[in-house]
Order: sequence, then structure tokens, then C-alpha cells
Amino acid sequence: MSAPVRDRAADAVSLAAPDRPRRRWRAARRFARDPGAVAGALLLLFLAMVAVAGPALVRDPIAQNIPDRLQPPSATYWFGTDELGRDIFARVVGGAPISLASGLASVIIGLALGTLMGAVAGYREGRLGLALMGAVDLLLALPAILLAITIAARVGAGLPAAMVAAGLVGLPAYARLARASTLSVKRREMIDAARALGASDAAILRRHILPNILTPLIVQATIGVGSAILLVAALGFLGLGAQPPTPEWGRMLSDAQRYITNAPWIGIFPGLAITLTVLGFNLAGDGLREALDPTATS
Amino acid sequence: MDDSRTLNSLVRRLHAGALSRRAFLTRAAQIGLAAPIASALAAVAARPGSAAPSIALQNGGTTLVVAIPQATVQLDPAVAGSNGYGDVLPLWDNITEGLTRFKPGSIELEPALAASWDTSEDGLQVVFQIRPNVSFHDGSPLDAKAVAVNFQRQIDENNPFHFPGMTYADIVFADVEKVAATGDLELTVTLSRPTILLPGNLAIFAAGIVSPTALQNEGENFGQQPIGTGPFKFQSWTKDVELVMVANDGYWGGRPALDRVVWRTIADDTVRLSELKTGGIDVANQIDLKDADSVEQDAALQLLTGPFLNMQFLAFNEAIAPFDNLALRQAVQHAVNKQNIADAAFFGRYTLGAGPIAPTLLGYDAGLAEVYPYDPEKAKALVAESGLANPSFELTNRTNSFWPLLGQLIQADLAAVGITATINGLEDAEFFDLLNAGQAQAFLNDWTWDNGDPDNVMFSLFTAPRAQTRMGYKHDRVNELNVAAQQERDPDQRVKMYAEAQKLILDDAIMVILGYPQRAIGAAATVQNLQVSPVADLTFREVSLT
Amino acid sequence: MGRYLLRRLAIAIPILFGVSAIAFFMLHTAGGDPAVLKLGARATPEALAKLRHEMGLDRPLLVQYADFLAGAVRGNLGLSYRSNTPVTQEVLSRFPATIELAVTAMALALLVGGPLGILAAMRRRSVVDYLSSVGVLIGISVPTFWLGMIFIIVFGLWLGWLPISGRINPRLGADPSTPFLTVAAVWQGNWVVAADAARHLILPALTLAAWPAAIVARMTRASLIEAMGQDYIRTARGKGLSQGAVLMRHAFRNALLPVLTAIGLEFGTLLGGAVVTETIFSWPGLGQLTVAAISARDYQIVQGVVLLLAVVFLTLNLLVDLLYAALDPRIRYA
Repeated sequence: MSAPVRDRAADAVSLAAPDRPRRRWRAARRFARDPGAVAGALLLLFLAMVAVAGPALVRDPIAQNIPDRLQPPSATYWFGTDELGRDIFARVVGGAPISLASGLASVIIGLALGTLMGAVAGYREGRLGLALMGAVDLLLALPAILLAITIAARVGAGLPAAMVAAGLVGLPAYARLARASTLSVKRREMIDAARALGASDAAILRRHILPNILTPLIVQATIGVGSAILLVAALGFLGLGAQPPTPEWGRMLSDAQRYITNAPWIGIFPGLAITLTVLGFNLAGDGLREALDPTATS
Repeated sequence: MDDSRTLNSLVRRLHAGALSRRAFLTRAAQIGLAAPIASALAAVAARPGSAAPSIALQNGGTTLVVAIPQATVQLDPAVAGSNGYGDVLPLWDNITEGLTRFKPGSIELEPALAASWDTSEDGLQVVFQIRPNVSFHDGSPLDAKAVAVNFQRQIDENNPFHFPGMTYADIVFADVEKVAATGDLELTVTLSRPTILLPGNLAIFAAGIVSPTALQNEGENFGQQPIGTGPFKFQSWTKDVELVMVANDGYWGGRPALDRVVWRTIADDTVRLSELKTGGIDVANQIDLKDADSVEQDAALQLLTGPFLNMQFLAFNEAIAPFDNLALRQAVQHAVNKQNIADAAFFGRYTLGAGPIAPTLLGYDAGLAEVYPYDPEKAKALVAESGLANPSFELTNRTNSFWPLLGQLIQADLAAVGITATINGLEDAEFFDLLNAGQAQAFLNDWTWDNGDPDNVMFSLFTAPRAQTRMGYKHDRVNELNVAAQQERDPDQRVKMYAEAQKLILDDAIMVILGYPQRAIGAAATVQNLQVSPVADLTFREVSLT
Repeated sequence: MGRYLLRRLAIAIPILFGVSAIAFFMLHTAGGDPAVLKLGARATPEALAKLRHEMGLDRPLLVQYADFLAGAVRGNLGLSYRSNTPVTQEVLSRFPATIELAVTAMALALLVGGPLGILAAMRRRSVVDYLSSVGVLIGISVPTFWLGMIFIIVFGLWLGWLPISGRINPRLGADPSTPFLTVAAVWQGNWVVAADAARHLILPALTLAAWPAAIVARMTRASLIEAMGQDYIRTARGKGLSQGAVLMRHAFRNALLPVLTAIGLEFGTLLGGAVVTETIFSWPGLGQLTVAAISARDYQIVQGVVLLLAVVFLTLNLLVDLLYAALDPRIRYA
């Protein structure tokens, strides 16, 4: 029950798949000339630096200081303090690796499983393929938040549950993309050649199909990190993600809700951090897509 | 699948050239949009009890809108409370009443549906004289037989009106052996042992009297449209969203001033407060204490505060490690900074913990706070004395409301004296599962009094079976005292018994008594005579709007 | 065509079956005992065991599932654990409020996103284009719940322009569960209620619309640009037609396809996203019911909602594909 438009789009992107050095070079040049893409890349680079080096440079993100609680931003506390007198700047910085890692981890889960299912389904179009894509459609038919809530209810609230949930929510997109690309790649002569040489199915999938379908998947995954971070944050907001005192951004926002009229800064800064991070991944993802496939304009 | 057939024919006509693509698009869009709407409309129209959606304006009369954080789910008072507190509030002394009730804003008992009562010399029989000339909202008369039906259905599990979820029967009718209508308006309750608690227990919402005729007619659906004797009649509701009750013109105590009271469920504290400030609601129950000052300073609003019979505690399970160790339990007692909790979580509107019995109750002793003063150095010494190197444990708390905040505060206090606490935040269902399984090493919880007697916490927390399942606690002398205090009529004697029991409990250090929060209600300045009740009911029979 | 529809239906059935199985087993093996929640913190173990038996929770899971399925095929999804009322009744009574919110949000998204996308496509690489791209990116990067809270504070509390929560001012006496309250009130000529209901709709609808508005703008721009690159457009332009005329008469129609697809698919996402929005604004729809049901471990209700949304999703998907086939003659379903 694939909607044709998505498969068509996937085909269009996969045309750019055969990677040759010259194409790559051209793509890099296009990326570098796109101001949005560069902004996105710089933003991500900055976030990565914050995530790696930042936590060592700021105060302890879970150290409480009750007398200094609920202070507005000042020279001492750049982003103010929260209800327990914790430094919000330290918490936003300390939360960067957690939020980035949870977004990346979810995408890796979804990407790995989705690609595997999609590639196999595309390679083996018969009953196995139908069954696999049926499972994917099934995931798609479960509303994302509900699926996540159900998983969190199953394995217990916490960051791992939220990451698995966000991963599974993203899975169908990767699976469909992988299947569509595989369908077009496997008709190429080199596959027949490999098969004639006696390569096993697994080897063909690994050596010939996977490298050739990866490009559109990576573009999709870049944008997917943003959505995953948003979903993990939404789960944190519903109380199903990270547990206190972990400085995860979504969780911080959820706790800040209680103080939004008295001390709005508690929520504004983690909210901005989420927005900027997602923005970075979206900009970079869009730029990547345009650079790799100038004909696809979306 | 009517839509697909229609669509199918549309598509066929399109392919046959009988339909332009634009026309197809328009029609298909109509189907696409119309189908879910039509089916939803049909489904709702078919709902029983709502023949036509009523969106008529309510003309004239005074309407008071009150917002509570909890949801309303079912309205049988004998079952209420099991679904959370939302069901309790509209019922309790508003729609249904018991034989006794608390005076507004206090824990002093007064007659309600019983005009008077007498306890026999041996304390084994209580005879209630039912108030004459009272009728239920459905017109049927209140008599001793009707009350007997109400009590029996809770006591007798084989009664046809005994429904799942009558948890409070164990508390309200704990020692009741027999209930009989011994006259038209005379009800005799026979007890299995002498206890002074029955009249107080009958003021609990779960002892609310409902119309036996309605029970007969509605059976298990009674909870969907409750019929009582109270000052307000149930009118309509949307579960979890809104409940409307209207004045009972024939109320025995005189018609209330308000014509209509609308109960809205608004879970979020900030949204509830914002609605109050912008005039969307007249009363906001349970104001977050951090906002109490801002409500107080608002000229258009009033803040109603008062003591609240609630006690917050950190309990240990002494049946399992590491809190089978007395020195470690005592170390935690000295390590917890209760003042921080009062400041950071309750914005000063908090009485620091002393003994298990809360202020305003018989037996409360502020001096007990001195048993375990905040003293990190002493705590460190006690950790050393415990013989445990780097003790660590899992601190279980609920994930809603202020609980995670308390957990984090205590976690930091303990870290300062060398005890590692990992917070295990659980939703209510898992939380109580873990407690009932006796698996929680230490947990944060509270107890709200159902009636105005210290017994409600002393017996329920330290003597009832849950003391052993949840905390591994069983103390013969404490049990003896708690049971004796249930039968003692002399208040001075009871104070002595509870003083000894509290002392023993503190010596065992089985729980850290954190404190007793205040309760605050926000209301528009136009609301008159609203009282904050220590047992958390919210009654409107004397309330008016100017 | 008929065979295609039949095949789609034949696929839909196992999917619904799978959805119900996943929902059932995941929920029923999740921690948290509904009996505990029903009886409250003060219940004794005996009372709990008894209630579990009454609720049928002590039977083997497979038996419970078979029981559920047997009821489900007859349209009976069982009774809500919390309130003992039929699940179908509870879920369907909440559906219209969610649909009203979602349809309004989608309409807003089209009104804002459509023109924005067209404008951006017409003036490619202009300031308008860049500004709209930034708007789009922000739209898909902002957490919904954060946006909702900010709307409440700014427009509700600070400026006092709009009501903060609920569907109607309770003092008006209108039933908040009325389906399509705003439309119904207009229909009955009750302007006071209509205006109040419409005002209540604005903030949650705006919150919910942010994401789809961005998607619509992005899709419109992209597909318009693609369409304008086609040969026949160049031909049309070569014939001397103005850019606006070309855009409206030719490009727009072809660009409609992917946009429609996006809308159809986004509508499903929208219904899911309503969970968060409804929670923030106390909107009495499916989302709020779901959150309440989850915290009370009322699996029955959650299952009902999941199934209903799956049916809606599959129906939308089918409609989108059919529309696609009808509009693009190159695609035929045999």
C-alpha cells in the first residue's frame, strides 16, 4: 500500500546514487555555495563542540543552590536559575550531549532497521517483501505519539524507551526509501554480473546494493535527527522520557512549564536549544539533498 | 464502505471522460471531508441521553465555575475515590450527603441526614434518628430503610448493588457488624467491638446516601447520573471535562444561593491559575503554592488558605537492605533538610515535620520535630556507625506534581552525607504496584485524612497490614496503643496513647516525617463564604456570588 | 479499479489486525495494574485480586485478546476500565472535538502555507523566498508544546485577547461535547456561542497548525518550481502568457498532486499531534482522553483510540492514492 508519490520521489533522489569522485566534488561545491546549508553545517558544528567540550567548562548541571533559586538571567547565571537554584546555562550545555545523542541514537535505530527491512523487501519482492512492507505499514498506521507512549508504557519511562520509540517512528520512512532505491538499483547490470559470479544474496546486498542506496537515506536521516529530537522532547514533556535530575532539554521544558508565568527563562532557553538544534539538522539536510540531487527541489 | 463505492464510481466516470478532472477533485474532496464528519455526527447523535446537542444559552441565574485538577469519571459515592479525587468533590456534601458532616472549614462534626445519634453504654450499638421530611432528587423519601440499603450494599459483597471499587467500605464500616432499620426513621448499627470512630467515618464521602429507587433503576450505571439528597442536583457532564450541577429547590437546609455550579477539569496548574486571573473561572482549587502570593496581591482575587490534614513522608522498608539498618535510617533522618523542602517546593507555606499526626489534630506534638533535627555532621557519623561503606539505594517517587522535586532535594541532601540515592520515578500504577509488592527500598508518599481523627493515619499507616507489606513494619506495642485509642472515649487518655505510639515510631525511624503542606484555593473576589476544608472537600451550599 | 479497491481493503484488514495485536499485547504486558488504579492506594491485596477477577484480568492474555477480537469484529470494544461505559461510545463522543480542531488547523495551514509557498516559488531566491524558508524551518523545528505554552502566556495571560483553555465558556451553558460546536452554533443562529467557541478554537488550532503549515508551504513551493520547469510550461510561456497566468492555469494544477498527498498524510500526523495540543489547552478531544486513559491504565480506551486512528489513517491513505490516480493519468491501478 505504498503511496506512489513517495516512491517516485525516492527514485528521483536515487538517480544521484552512483557515487563518483567528480559527482561528489560537484555536490560539495553546491553545498558550500548554499547559504542555508552552510548555516546549518556551522550550527551543527557549533552544537557538536558545545556537546563535546561544553560540559567541562560550565558549573555542575545538577548542583542545587536553594537560596539562589528562580533567579532571572544575570552576569553570574547567564540563563538564570531554576526552581532548585541550578544554573540553567550549565543545564542547557550539559543537556547538549544527551539530546544530541538521543536524537542520533534514535535515527541509527530507525535507519539500521528500516534500511535492512526496505533493502530486503526490495531485493526479494515476493512474499517476504510483502510481509516486511506490511510490517512497515503497520508501524505507519500507529500514530507516532501513541506508538511512543505505548513503548514507554511497556519498557518503563526513561531515555532508552524514548529513543527506541522515536527510532521506530522514523523507521517506515527509511524502509520505504530503501525499498524504492533497491528496486531501481537491482535492475542494473552489475547485480546480474555479481550473481553470475556466484555472489550470495547477503553479499550482493552488502557490497552492491547498500552502497548505492545510501545517499538518499543519509539525506533523510539528517532531517530525521531533528524530528527524533523533537519527539524525544515531546515524550520528555509528557513525562515519558528522561528522568530528573538528568538535564535533558524536553524534560527541562516540561518541568519549566510549572514556572512559565513566574520564571519564563527556565523554559525559554531549553526551548531555544531544541529549536536551534532541529533547525541545524533541517538546514543541513535540505542543503545535502539539494547538493546531491539538484533536480529535486523540495 | 460507502465512500469507496462512491469514489469508485467517480473514478470510473472520470476515466470514461464523463467527468472533468476538476469536477472529480471537488467531489472527491467533498467525500473525503464529509465522510469522517458525517460518521462522527451520526455516532454522537446516536449517543443515549443527548437527543439534540443543547447549545442554548443559560438565561439568568448565577453560575459559579470551579476548576479542579482531577478528572470526573463516575459518580457513585461508594465507589468514588477509587478513580481519583475528581469524582469525590462534586459529590461530597454537594450532590450526596452522609448521616453526619464536618462544619465548613473545620473537622468538627455536625448532624446531616441524621438529626441525632446515641451510643449504647457498652459502645457496641449506635442508634441514629434519621432527619424527617427529606427527599432525594428523584422525589423518593429518605427513611431508615433507604439508609440501610446504602450501608448494606457496601458491607455485603453479595448485595446486588455492591459494585467493584468500593474500597472505602473497609475504612468507613471497619467494625460494623449489622445495620438495621429499627423504625421508620430509626437506624441501628451494631459494632463488632466498641469504637468511637463511626460517626466521624460516616462524614466521609463514601458514606454518602443515594436514592435506592435510582439504584434499582440504574444498577451499575448509577454512577453515570447520581441521585442524592444534597443542596445541588446533578444535571449533565462530559467525563473528564465538565460537570454541571444545579440548585436543589427542595433542599432540607434551604435552597443554596447559587443556581448552577460548573466543575471543570484543568489539570495544569499554570492554565488553571491563568483561567482564574483572566476571569474564565471563579474558583481554582489547589493553587500551586508558588502562586499563592500573586493571587493574594491581585485585587480581583482572594486567596483562601488553611491547614490541610496531609502528612508527607519518606518511608523505609526495614525488611530489605539497606534500610534494615537502624543507624542508616537515623542518618537519613538527620540528613534531610526539611526547611529546603518548605522553601523550594512549598514556598514557605509548609509546617516542618514532627510526628505522624498533623497539626490541628488531637495528638499533634510540635516538639517531636526535635527528635531528629537537621544535622549533616551527625548524619555522617551515623553513616559511619552503620558499618555500610558507601550506602546506596533506590528512592522511589511518583512522577506527578511536586514529587520529583522532593526526590531531587532529598537526593542532594543525602549525597552531602555520603549516601547515594538513585531516583526511580514511577507513574501511580507502577508506584503502588511496587509498594504493594514490598519491593521499594524507600519511597516518598503522603497521607490525606479522610476524617478528622488521628486514628486515620496512626492505624492505617502503622498497624494495618500495609505497614508490613510496604515498610516491613510490625510493632506490637504500637498496634496495641492504636487499637486501644480507637475505643477510648476520653480525649486526654487518647492524647497519651498517641504520644507514646508516635514516640515509638520515631525511635524506630521507620519514616522521615517531612512536613504538612498548606492548602490554597484561589477565588474571584466576588465569591462569598467559601471555606478551605482540612479534609479537602469543597462544598458550595453556603457560597454565593456578589 | 474495483479489484484494486478490494485488494487495498484486503491489505487493510491484516494491518488493522496487526495494529490491534500490537496495541493489545504491548499495553497488557506493560507495568501498572489497572485494578490498583481503580481501587486506589488504600486497597487491600484481597480486594485487588477480586477486582482483577471481575475485570477478567486474571485470564491468560491470549484468551483476553481472543475475547477482545470477538467483540471488536462486532463493533464492541468492551467497557472502559475507569467508568464502565462502552469504549466505542466514549471514543466516538470525543472524536468530533478532535476533528474540529484538526480540520481548523489544516484549514489554517492551507491558508498560510499555500500562499506562502506560491509566493516563494514565484519569487525564487528573493527576500520573500528566504524569509518563507526560514519561517518553514522554524515551523518544523519548534516543539509544539513549547509553542502552545508561549501562546497561552502571550495571547491569553499577558494580552488577554483569547481564552486559554477548554472549548466554550461554561457560563454560556453550551454542552462542551457538542460536535462541531462552532458550526452547530452558527447553524442555529446562536452567535454568542459561535463567537465564543470560535475564540476558544484559535490558540489550539494555531499551535497545531504550525507544523502542517510549514509542510504545505514547502511542498507547494517545491512542486510549483518543479512544474514550472516542465516543457509544456516553457511552451506556454513561449506563447507569451504572463507568468501569473501560466502559474495559475498550468503549473498550479500539476503542483496540486504532491501537495494534496502531503495534506492527506499530514492529517494523520495531525490527529496524533493533537494529543499534546489537547493536553495543554484542556481541549476535550481524543488526545486528552488518551492521556487520561494512559495514566489510569485504561487499556480499553487506549486500544479504541489506536484502532480508530489506524482506520482514519488507512482511509486517508487510500483516498490520497485514489486521488493521485485520478489526477495523474500515467498512474493506473489495475
